[in-house]
Amino acid sequence: MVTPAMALFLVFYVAAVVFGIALSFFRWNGLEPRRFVGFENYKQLFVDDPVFFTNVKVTLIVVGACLICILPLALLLAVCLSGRGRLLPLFRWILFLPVVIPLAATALLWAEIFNPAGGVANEFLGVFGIGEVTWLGDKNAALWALILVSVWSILGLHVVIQLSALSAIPTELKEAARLETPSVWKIFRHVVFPLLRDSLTVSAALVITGSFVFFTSLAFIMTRGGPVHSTEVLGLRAYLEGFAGLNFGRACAITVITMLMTIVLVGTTLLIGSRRRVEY
Amino acid sequence: MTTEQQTLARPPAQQAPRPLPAVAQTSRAGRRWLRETARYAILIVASAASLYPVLWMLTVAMKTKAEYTQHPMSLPQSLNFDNFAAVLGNDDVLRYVLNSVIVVGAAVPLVTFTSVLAGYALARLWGRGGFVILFVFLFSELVPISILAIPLLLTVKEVGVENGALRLICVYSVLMMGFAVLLTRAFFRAIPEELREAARLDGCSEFGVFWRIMVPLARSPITLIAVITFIVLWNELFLAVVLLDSAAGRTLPLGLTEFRGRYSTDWPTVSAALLLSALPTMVLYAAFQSRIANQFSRSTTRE
Amino acid sequence: MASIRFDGVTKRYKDGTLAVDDLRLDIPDGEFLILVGPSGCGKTTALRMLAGLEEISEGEIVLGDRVINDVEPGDRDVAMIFQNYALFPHMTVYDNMAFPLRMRRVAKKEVAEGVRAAAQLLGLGELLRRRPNQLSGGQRQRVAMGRAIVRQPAAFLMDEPLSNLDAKLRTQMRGELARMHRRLGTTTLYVTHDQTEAMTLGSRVAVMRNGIVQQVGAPQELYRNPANAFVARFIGSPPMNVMRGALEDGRLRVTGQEDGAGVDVGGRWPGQTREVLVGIRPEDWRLGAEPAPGEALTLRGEVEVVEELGAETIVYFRHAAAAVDVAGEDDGIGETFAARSEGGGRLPAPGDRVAFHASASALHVFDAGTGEAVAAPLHAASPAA
Repeated sequence: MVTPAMALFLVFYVAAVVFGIALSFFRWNGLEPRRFVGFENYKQLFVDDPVFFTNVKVTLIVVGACLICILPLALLLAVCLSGRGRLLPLFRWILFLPVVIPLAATALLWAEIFNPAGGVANEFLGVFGIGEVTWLGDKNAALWALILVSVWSILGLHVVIQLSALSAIPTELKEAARLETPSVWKIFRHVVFPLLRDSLTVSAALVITGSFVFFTSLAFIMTRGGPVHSTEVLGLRAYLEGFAGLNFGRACAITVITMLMTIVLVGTTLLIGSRRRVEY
Repeated sequence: MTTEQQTLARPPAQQAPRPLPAVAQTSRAGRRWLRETARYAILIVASAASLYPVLWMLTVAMKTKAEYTQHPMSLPQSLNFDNFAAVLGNDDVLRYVLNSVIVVGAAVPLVTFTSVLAGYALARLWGRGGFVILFVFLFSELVPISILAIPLLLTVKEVGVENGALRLICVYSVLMMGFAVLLTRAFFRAIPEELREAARLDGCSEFGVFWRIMVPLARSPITLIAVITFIVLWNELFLAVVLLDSAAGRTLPLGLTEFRGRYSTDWPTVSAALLLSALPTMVLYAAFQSRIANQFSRSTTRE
Repeated sequence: MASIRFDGVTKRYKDGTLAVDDLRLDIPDGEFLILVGPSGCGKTTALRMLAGLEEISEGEIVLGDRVINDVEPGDRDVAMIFQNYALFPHMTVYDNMAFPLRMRRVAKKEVAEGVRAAAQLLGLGELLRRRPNQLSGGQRQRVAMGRAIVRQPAAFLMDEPLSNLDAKLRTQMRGELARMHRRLGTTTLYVTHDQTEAMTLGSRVAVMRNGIVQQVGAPQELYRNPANAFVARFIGSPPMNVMRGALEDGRLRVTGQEDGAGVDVGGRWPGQTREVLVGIRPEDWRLGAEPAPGEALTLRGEVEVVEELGAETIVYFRHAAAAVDVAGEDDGIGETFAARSEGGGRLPAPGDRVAFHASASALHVFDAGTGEAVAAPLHAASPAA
């Protein structure tokens, strides 16, 4: 019964992993015969390619910034949404809405908002008397603008993850704690927060893999990696290397490095999250 | 919550002889008021941030080009649906939609069917074989297939799948399979073994148990898998960018970027197109909202 | 309807554990047999082998006149009631009960008739359109019974069917089960760990331990003449009090007894000499200052707990001789004996030192090594008091 699923999986996932790793040792423009070059692709990336370091740096900044923004915000909003209140379901609905909007639409929408010529973002800043920013054209601002869009588009998912973890905590636990202390903050800090460890771990892992995936699409539409590589994450670099540079071997090498990075980052997260884990 | 309200609603006559608790109650009620105000203030700000860009897009979609240039942030002067009509009358857009419908329409049943089978088998399969298979599916959650776009393209070419729609159907199935298999497996594992035994005793075959008991029982997770898969695939962009060779096969998200390029000066029409592209997923989300939201999160939290 | 025979049935798991060891059991047509024992004794495994849900390692199971070892569970013509009822949550009560008939491709009209008849018998008529999650525990239990009886199987298999019910409902359902059996007369094998169910429900009871049947017999037979110390302790509540002792050429000496002369057992075990366990039922103690004529055993101890249960009172008293661990089971009583008294009189209070007396005829004697009952030719003699 596993066979159909497994067959698809073998061809379109496992084979891609294996083939990708294999091709990363070749030089290939997609047309001519492949030439085995050993670790040449990796060597070029690490030794002769300053842009590649920018790519890695940008990727890590994206992951870090998304983690720092999303986890606390999601937790805060989940706490606000928990409990009973007539309006809470409505708020929950609104907060989740950006998650189901097509990423392409999100990207195009925000590109227009950030349009330096009469875009809403500048109009908005104008209200506070701040001068015009070129946003996506500014190599200092573009990355942060894109991170803002990423957070906007996936925050709702993480709010809901934390919310369902919150509501899974048995009421008796909170009631037992209320008999010990009147401080809502202490109850949260010592009882609720430790019990959210699993869901926070999951959120963190999803933010990491998600920022590799979502951000690539956003940057692809909104900036193509520019200006001056300032938003060029690894996924986009692999794409450009393959389609613009016709250097599929190096594109595969970049993919392999990306893969290893996700494994290390997510693995570390899961490891940290599984220490002293609690079950109830 | 109710107890506190009742305490507060108690007639003052009863409280008068006991000033001490009364003081405590006021400060308690005060803290509570502060807390609730903060809660709703935060929620209102966050919701505004969530909703504003979407609403703005909606207002723009009802404006003319000139109106948008002059007043980008104001409300539209009239409820004007011309832009939507223009989008719906556009042959390119209709082609994108058709392509998306074909790809997603084939991938959703494919994912659902294969993963329910696999999830059921894996729920009952122990030993090393089952563990290895499970590990592969878990691994795919760790390294999403979108990261592998370039090697995937090369693999697909190597295998000889030339048709763009077929490529996407296969890859999209795999994209959602890890999620779907893990979800159904968790669901089937939670079903008590006695149900299977009872059905067997009543004369059901093993396949009968699956078909007559397990599948109907799993109707709700199966629906959710289908709905969530639809939403994700309908919105998928990057794999389509990489895997599609010809312009003819472009799916809707990819088509939107092209549409935007062609109508670069006509943002109101583009707005209408973006809103229309989001319509199916938003309708589905509205219909299944709480279940989708919960499942989106739960699917990945299990194991 | 059919008889059931376990013929040397053995269940050995892959890791070598022997769950059921050479089970031999004959259940004549129409009997209600109870398989009782502590958890892990192999009773459920035996039942599941009969149902076809577990492979049989050795031996044969015969239902009616055919060996069913290799018959698919669905073709064995037995119906089972599970501890958690195993109702299909996505089907209505009606569909649940119709399920076994539909699986046998019974015509639609007959299905309807069968379900209605069963529903009427069980008082489920009103509930046929409901789903299991809309039913109370007792109603679910009834639906499970309904699903079993609609197809008129050769035998009912019940795996602790009452253990998920509260005490009051359990008593009520026990009565219904008994009534149902009288009415349908279907051979029933009923597994439980609850000795009260065993005593009240079955026409015969088989006590199992560690995969081996200890004794089979009518409930009163097991109570009066337990074959070994395990059965003696397992049947009856509170359990039989057991102390160490020795037979010396027909004379019984009980450890810790103040009177060193031993117990005059009136020649019940003539000529026997061995280490023994001496058992006495709680109701066979008499509380009093001095032994009455014919009472051969007297123990003095400190009262620990007095449980007044209304019709009867149970006095737990501490005595050094009670520190006997029968067969490694720990029932939490420790170094206390239980004595049951009906009727009034002055009750002792915790802390009182009191004397308990018993007549020789009330004593059960088991071999200290094997736990087997020591044959007592005069056991049938009427009690002296």
